[in-house]
Amino acid sequence: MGDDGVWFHVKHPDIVDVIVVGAGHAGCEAAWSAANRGANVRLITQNLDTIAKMSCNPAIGGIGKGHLVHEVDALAGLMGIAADRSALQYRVLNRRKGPAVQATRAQCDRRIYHMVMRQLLDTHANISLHQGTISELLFEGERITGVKDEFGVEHKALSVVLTTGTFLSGLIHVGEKTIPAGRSGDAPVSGLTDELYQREFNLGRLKTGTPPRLDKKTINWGVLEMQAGETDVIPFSCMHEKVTQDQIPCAITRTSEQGHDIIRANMSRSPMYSGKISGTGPRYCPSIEDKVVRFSDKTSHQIFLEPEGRDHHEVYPNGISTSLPVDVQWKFIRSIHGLENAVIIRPGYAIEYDYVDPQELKPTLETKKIQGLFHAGQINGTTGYEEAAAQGLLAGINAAAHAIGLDSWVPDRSEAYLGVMVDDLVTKGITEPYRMFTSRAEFRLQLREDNADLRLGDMAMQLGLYDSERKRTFELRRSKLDRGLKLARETVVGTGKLWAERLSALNLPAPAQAMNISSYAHRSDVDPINAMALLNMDGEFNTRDMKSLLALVHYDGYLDKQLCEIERFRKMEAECIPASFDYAQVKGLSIECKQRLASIQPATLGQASRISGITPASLTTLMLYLRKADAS
Amino acid sequence: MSGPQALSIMKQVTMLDDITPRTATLTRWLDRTGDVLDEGLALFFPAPHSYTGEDVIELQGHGSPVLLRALLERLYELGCRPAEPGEFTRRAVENGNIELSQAEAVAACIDAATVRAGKQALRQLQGVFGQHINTLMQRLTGLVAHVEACLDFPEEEIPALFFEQLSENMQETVITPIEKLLSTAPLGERLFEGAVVAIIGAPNVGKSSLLNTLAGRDRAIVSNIPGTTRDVLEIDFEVHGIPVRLADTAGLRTSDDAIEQEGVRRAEAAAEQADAIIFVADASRPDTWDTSRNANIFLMNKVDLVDAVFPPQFIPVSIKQKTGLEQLSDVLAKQLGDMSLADEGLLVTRERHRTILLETLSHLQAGMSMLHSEDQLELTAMEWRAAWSQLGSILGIGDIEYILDRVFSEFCIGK
Repeated sequence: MGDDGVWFHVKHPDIVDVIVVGAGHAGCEAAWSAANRGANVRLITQNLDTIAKMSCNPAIGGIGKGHLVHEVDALAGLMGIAADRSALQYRVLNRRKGPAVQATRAQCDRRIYHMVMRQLLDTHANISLHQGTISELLFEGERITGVKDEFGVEHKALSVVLTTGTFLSGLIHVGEKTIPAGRSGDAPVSGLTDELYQREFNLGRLKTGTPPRLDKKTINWGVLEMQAGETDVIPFSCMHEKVTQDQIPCAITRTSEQGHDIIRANMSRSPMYSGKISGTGPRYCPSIEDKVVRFSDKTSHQIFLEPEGRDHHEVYPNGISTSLPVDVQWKFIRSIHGLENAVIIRPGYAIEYDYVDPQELKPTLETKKIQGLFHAGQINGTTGYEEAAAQGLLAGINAAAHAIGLDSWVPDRSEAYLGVMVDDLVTKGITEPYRMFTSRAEFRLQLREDNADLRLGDMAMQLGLYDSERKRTFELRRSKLDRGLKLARETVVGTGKLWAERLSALNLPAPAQAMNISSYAHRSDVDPINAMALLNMDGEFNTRDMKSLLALVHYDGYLDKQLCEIERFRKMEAECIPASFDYAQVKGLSIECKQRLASIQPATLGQASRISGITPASLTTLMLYLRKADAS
Repeated sequence: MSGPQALSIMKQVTMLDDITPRTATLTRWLDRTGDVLDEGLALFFPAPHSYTGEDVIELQGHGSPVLLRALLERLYELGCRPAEPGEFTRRAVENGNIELSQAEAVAACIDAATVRAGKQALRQLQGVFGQHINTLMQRLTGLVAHVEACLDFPEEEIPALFFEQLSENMQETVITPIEKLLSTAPLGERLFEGAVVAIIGAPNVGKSSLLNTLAGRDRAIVSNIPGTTRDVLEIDFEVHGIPVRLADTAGLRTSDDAIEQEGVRRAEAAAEQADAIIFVADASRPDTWDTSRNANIFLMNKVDLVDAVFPPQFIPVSIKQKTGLEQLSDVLAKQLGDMSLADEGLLVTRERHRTILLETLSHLQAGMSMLHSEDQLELTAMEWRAAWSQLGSILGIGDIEYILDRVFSEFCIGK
């Protein structure tokens, strides 16, 4: 109300279908996928110059994470495209292990990454960008109707996606100092937390951290071991056939006992150990002070010195995130081999931020309490750009569905890592920042990087995410792979003279008996890559296709086994529990079980079985009850 | 009677207006016209503190099938129906009163033919077996975690001897205990399902007399005419707590008699299916001392008649004088299984458990066979996780549908 008692609203002149708050890795994908489905999207961010900023390490991918990037790309998302276009160096992790657990990781130029994302978003016909800080959500009953920015301008929409990252009541810690911030150099967002509290969302506090950044020209590169990028790498996006740009190396060094002594001597000044930080940090991404305390028998820890850009002088020392006081950071950095004269450009820090219990969400990432409100990324308790991007993409798909009346979609655990992650989040909640691992997937052999497009392409088309070029690429690839697999099974490696010559040219042993290529490639004395090359004498298949074919042959037999398991799994997923099911009426369930089930509201018996605290006996009871109710 | 209407039906069928819970109450039950059917005891176990977790009524009447049928018909009129096989226990599971493995143990208790088998079932009911499976699952989880760590954190170096130590641990702490458990299965199954022991031997050596002696009554016709027993005769008795079905067979000889030929054929078939075979010979007739017979126990009968020197594998007995029979029991019990295992309480007694453990073992070993290089590590993980799920299905963790069907199909009577 204005001073003169007259109502006044400043309204943005255009009503949109979907508003996305935050333009980090989750927000960008959310806006993009909602727009791809035909929704009108406004992407609102505090600072248009920090869109898709990599706040921590300048790299995309890794084990489990690379899988997510491929899935984002298969659903026509942005991350794979931007990572490929900004890549400085690629590596395949787990290269010596099987195809299902191999994963791509790329170090990227953070400026180019931002520019590519900005440009893609700018040019999408259905997306408008807007700079503003959102401090208020607008409701009508249990339904969201829009948001209000710091100038009091109301933005109306049918769906709102919140991707607040580390900005929600963000607080930076460096030694004894604390600074309210969303990230180093950016203001936090404070009003939204109260809004969510008022709506009785269950909020919690998490922590993450980042290392100090170093000046490239002050590092003694000459004494360090260098690690070059790998050239035989397949880019993330299936729209890119091969890596074209030059790759730049990174360097490897190690911490020393002397450095560990510096940390031990100053441990009382670390906010992690003085008790100043209450939020939980990720166990699998410990700070250097954590490593020194928890693994005290290790005298040295590895550090990768990663470039942050092609013509960029900041260097990211991977492996030593810290919230120690700045003076200790200086002493510690200079205790490291090759960094004796290194200059810190930005200090490392820890940051605490609010998250909302993801058990508040439906698998579509819409909140159960407020219709049309979606959460994606770190607000759901996850960590990592890739986890955020994948959730953003899903939230965008479903926010568009809600706004313009399309089908919503959620992949299940057998279809995508995205399905595994969302199910884990909404079913089990989190106790520490959630990161993707391949071991979280029970159908791991099926969920590979190389087949992400094949797993999700049909659905992507059905959801309207593909343009004509994507469609053509996908259909061509699928038909080529079908043909390739058929060839592998039907082409017989003969014992005649012609075959003998062909085989010896590829350094392959001649078989005593004729057999198909698929079986031949399985022999212990045969290099499967060379064997599969027999299929590709005329170069019909590109390296991406060959990788997929190789995986299919590698897992021959096992994939069928896993398909049987998937069928059994889907049977449980097909047993639906009505949305408004009253658990109080089920006799024989403990009060605790009833409460757990009522708060999670599992959509299927399968999901119910994964809720912690739900015993097999109570699940049996529930199943029999549902069957009985169904029959009568 | 179990269910929400049990109490009201009891009130309608008896002359009681009310009943004290868990107290035997003398009453009469009436038919539709109000005539008294029988006099007996009524017991009321109110929900949830009953076996099924529902209101349960027990009526104890006189042991006349006619009276019993009349009562049942009256109860059906009032809305009761006969319980499905295992339905009381199924309801107990549905209502969360007992867990699945306990339900199986209840089935086992009912099936138990001997005291020892009953004790074993009780132990399982108390969860000793379940606890053991749980421990194995925890160990397995720990070892799988090593593999998973190796897959998800490639930047960490794989320690030297990683594969060797992992497979050694798996062998010692999971595979060997499962193999040991599996080795109890034959005994466990015999404990519940009974062992079949066949008696074979030449005609007229005293096979039927042995059967009669062990049965404690004259079950078979005995005479000194060779070929008296034409068909396979069976009796049930107990050897050191193991239920045994003893099959007496026609004497093995060539005969022109068609009926006797058929008898010999059946004798051979019975011997083929037996868990143990007793071969009986006659001390006075060396032509019956056939040591080449495929038998587990060799018995030399009629040692009271002659002072003969016979091959050492024969146990000397005199069925007529009842000497040497105790030694026979000991040898037979030993042949059927090592009882000390049964008393430890860890015994595989259900076919379902045996099948699952075999399946578990095959997954574990498949995983082991690939545990030598990194490129199949995820397959090892897959096999070991499958083994874990298998073990879980014993306790009812995992695919509950499958387990339920298997569990409840093992019931064959009402409770």
